[in-house]
Amino acid sequence: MKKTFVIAFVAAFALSLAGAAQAGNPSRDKILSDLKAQAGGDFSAQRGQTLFQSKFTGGKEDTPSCTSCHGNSPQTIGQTRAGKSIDPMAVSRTADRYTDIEKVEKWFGRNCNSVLGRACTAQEKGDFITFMSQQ
Amino acid sequence: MRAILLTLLGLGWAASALADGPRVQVLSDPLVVKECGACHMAFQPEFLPARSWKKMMEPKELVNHFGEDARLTEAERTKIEAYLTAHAAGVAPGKESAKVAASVPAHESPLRITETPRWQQKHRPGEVNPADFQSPKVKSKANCLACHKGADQGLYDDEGEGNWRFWRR
Ligand code: HEC
Ligand code: HEC
Ligand code: HEC
Repeated sequence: MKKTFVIAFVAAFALSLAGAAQAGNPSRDKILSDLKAQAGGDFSAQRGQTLFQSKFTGGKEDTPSCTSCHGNSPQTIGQTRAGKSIDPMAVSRTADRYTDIEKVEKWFGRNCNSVLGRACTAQEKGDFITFMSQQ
Repeated sequence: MRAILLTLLGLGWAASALADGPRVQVLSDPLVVKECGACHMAFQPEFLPARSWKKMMEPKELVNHFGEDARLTEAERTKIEAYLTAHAAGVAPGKESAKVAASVPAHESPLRITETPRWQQKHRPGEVNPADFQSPKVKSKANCLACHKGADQGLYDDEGEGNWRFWRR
């Protein structure tokens, strides 16, 4: 009786771990599914990568690209213009990325305006998070 | 016995260091530390007069904050402005606060700490080599922590690990 209980417990624990690794983080999944409902279509990591790496001219002159602050790769530590370091954007490197909706909205709001000179669409936000989640 | 004596000596030293206290009041409000500390160290409000903070915190200024968008929600904005103005130069207690307040002409509202006469006098050529502000380790005059290791704890004086000369070695 006791033994089956222990086995069941261990099995449930192992399953929950596997589930967590696969399904990612519930808060991030919720953010992505809400964005999907707004965007209508599917998200593409490829487009997310393009958004991350492209240079734009519509925004503020000191910040032509997301990489201006976040570094050239999602894996690397970035740096603000004032010299403060920014944790990597890749979810594999910074586990709690894109899990707090207020934080996510605040920084897309600021940074898309600084880089693109406009707000990002739900499609662009979803593509970006999808790309970073696979990095 | 010797161990006890040494411990007592250590405690006495620590106590005197604490009694000295930071020259500048530590910024302890969690909202201000989080929101104004994301892109650079959260600067202590006593480095600028209240009228400067008021101006900086206007929504139209925040969306173009030194060439960047630093917008806040309205609730955050009003709370942060209230904190900054209540701890501004001449309002916060202490020597640095009073000196900054006295140095800025009454009709001016500088947005940069590094443009106040008090800051410029403390960092004049001779005290600091102007080329050092451009060095890759520093990058900007506003990067206080590069030279003052204890800046976020309000420690800007010449002692201990906060010492610039110590850092340069
Ligand atoms: C001027 C510097 C700068 C630029 C340019 C910039 N960012 Fe950021 N970004 C930051 C800082 C600073 C943070 C907040 C610190 C942190 O989260 O580590 C941040 C955070 C974020 C976050 C929140 C991440 C999270 O943990 O939830 C997102 C999303 C983001 N940036 C997207 C972008 C995108 C997309 C671009 C390009 C369109 C971009 N950023 C360009 C500085 C910048
Ligand atoms: C999105 C990034 C970002 C955020 C958020 C931000 N700042 Fe800044 N801030 C900057 C940049 C960039 C500079 C210019 C740095 C430089 O010249 O090296 C700056 C400069 C400053 C300066 C002038 C420093 C000097 O040169 O003396 C002050 C004061 C300041 N910020 C206060 C604030 C306050 C108060 C907040 C919170 C309401 C805040 N900042 C939030 C990016 C930011
Ligand atoms: C390039 C290095 C450097 C940078 C960057 C720098 N300082 Fe300093 N600071 C110094 C030196 C050197 C002194 C004079 C020697 C000393 O007192 O340590 C000094 C002195 C001071 C003093 C007077 C301390 C005293 O006891 O008299 C204050 C206050 C101060 N700095 C604040 C700041 C603030 C705030 C910033 C960021 C906005 C900043 N510093 C950025 C190097 C720097």
